[in-house]
Amino acid sequence: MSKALRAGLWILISVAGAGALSAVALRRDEPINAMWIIVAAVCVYVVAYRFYSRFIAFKVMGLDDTRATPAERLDDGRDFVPTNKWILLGHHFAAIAGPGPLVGPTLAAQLGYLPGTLWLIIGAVLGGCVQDFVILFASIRRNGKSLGQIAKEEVGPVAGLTALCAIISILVILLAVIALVITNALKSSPWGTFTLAMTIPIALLMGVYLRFLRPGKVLETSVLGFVLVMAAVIGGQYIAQAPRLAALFTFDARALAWMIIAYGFAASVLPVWLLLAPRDYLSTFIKLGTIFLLALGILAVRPTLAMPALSRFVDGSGPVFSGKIFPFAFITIACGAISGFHSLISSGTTPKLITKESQARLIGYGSMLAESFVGIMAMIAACVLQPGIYFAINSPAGIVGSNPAAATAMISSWGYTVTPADMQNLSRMVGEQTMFSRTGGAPSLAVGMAHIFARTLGGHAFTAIWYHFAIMFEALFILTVLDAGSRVGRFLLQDLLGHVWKPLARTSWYPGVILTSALIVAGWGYFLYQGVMDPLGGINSLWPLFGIANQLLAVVALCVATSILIKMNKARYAWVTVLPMLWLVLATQTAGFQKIFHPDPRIGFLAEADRLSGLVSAGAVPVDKLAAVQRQIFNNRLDAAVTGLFVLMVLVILIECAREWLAILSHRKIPVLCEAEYQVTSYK
Amino acid sequence: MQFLIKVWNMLGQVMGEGEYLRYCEHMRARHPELKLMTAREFYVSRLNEKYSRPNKCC
Repeated sequence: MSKALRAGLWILISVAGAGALSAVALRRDEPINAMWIIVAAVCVYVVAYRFYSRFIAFKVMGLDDTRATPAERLDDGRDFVPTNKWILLGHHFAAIAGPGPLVGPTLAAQLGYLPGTLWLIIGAVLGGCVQDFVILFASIRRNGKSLGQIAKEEVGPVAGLTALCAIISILVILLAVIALVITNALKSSPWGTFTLAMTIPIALLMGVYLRFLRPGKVLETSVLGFVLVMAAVIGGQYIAQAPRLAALFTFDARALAWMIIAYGFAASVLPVWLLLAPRDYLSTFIKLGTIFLLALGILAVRPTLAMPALSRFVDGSGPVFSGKIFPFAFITIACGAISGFHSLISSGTTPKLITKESQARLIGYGSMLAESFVGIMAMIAACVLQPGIYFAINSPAGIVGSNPAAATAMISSWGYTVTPADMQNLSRMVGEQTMFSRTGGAPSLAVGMAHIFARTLGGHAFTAIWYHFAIMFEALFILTVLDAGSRVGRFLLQDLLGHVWKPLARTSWYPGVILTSALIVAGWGYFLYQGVMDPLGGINSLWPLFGIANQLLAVVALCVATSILIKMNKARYAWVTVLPMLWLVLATQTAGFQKIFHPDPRIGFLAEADRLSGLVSAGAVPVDKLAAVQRQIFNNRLDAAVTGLFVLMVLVILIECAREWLAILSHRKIPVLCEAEYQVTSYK
Repeated sequence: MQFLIKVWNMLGQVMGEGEYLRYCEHMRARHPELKLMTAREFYVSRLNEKYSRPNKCC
């Protein structure tokens, strides 16, 4: 292609992107079509990838293809293996894309589609992708070391230890909140519970098949597992229709929480090949397929968004989560825009498999763009619902009450009309007992997905099956994150406690394994149980906590990345990581401060604790509810303390890094970069 | 059809197929004196390594 033609093409893409973006942002009078959002997102991604990631790759970090990567130098046929870049892209994407980019945008849709959409697009190209890319690069240059190790070597031991503590506590909150999402999705749903329960024997079967019959034949086993899971999705309908069978699979949230806790513990101590790995294969297979299918579905249906660009809840009074756009939109959507957790993946397996440094651009920056697009699709799926229905599904009973007539009247009074008949119709269509107050995002996302899928394939008759397929899809990979996360948490904790008492670090010592597994599971189990007992549904308090934690981890990662850029003598380009870092520091510190100290009890944990203790001392709490209210008071104070702890840990790292930066920039200290030695590649 | 086979193989590799073959090739080329693990042994030992560090995200 001639140079002029190419330039013209890029100008065209840029103009199309800018046009679509301004249409998305500025059109207020009539509902917009989802295609505007898709075009805006894709054009921005393409332009950012072509220009910004190239700038970061060659100007800022100086990727060097003559330099042998760890996969080449340390090739051991196992951990370090030069891998085809497209395969590695798929691998990395499957590892980073979890339930986060689906649930976050669904919850943020209460503000209207605009804030979340803009943050997903802009946050990803300037923040999330940059973080993933720079950390991946840093880890490649350091033989695939983890974020904690890099922090220790490049910043100092205090930063390293704080990073490790931060990672473990963030993991605990993450696991609790996603466990709460499936608990809420499966509550009183025999169909959904049956389907998910069946994935356990299916995974065990796959595990045995892979271990003894066809070792390593992952794909054929996953296809077999998929066929069985589909049979369970379809069969679930007959379970739900037979009252005696349905009773066996109908549980309240408390019972489900206990089952999930027991499952998490079992998965963390059982051999990996038996349950964890096969379920991971199954979930990866279904995840990649469903995301692809959803993209096709949206392109085929080209739905119109029913949600306004900005809802009335931008004032902070929303029922799904409380708080204004700033900072809470940026906390609610973490994964999809920028997710600190990715830095653990970027400094994990992927850097050990990459063949050439320049491929980090596709794999680090590119796969985060794909995750951002998943977030955009979730936002569209949530916004195709009538707002009244969206709010009826997502508002906790603690706010709208549990009487259908009263709840719909209240939601309609907000200006989002919905009737009890609409909701009954919806429950019948999706094959559930009720769709009121199914908080957590998963049910409303599943309704949105079913809506899109049913219009492409099968029509209305298939809505119930598509709904339960979508629930199974979300629950399946939430459980995968839950069991893999519990296990990793156990290893991290063993690592940390090993500093205190050596034997605890031994992964083959059974008492140590049981103890650390129990500690991790008890940690997230406690927060899960707290969420289940919370009259506001738990998502209200736990999701922001998770968002803050995840973004704070991103601050840590960007801090470490900035230290590395400064030490590489690239201080003039440090804004690449410093700007997203400052934005996140601003958002998370404001959110953290507000969650602790805000005078509105719906936002501030301490205000809520005070309100409740006021009720207790005024004698306004019935005796039988006293214990529950006391527990709520304690939990609110605990949540405040946890938020405070997160904020504090990040401040420690921030200060440690800033001292280092100042020392280097004022020439008081000679920068020593802990990179692996340069070795020339033998690849062409 | 050929395209489908290609997609199938690609997907298989994304999910971790072919690791054993690569391991065998590597061992034969670099450490011919060492005894190879069987496919089953390799499969189990790889899984234990894979799931002991962060490998799934939210």
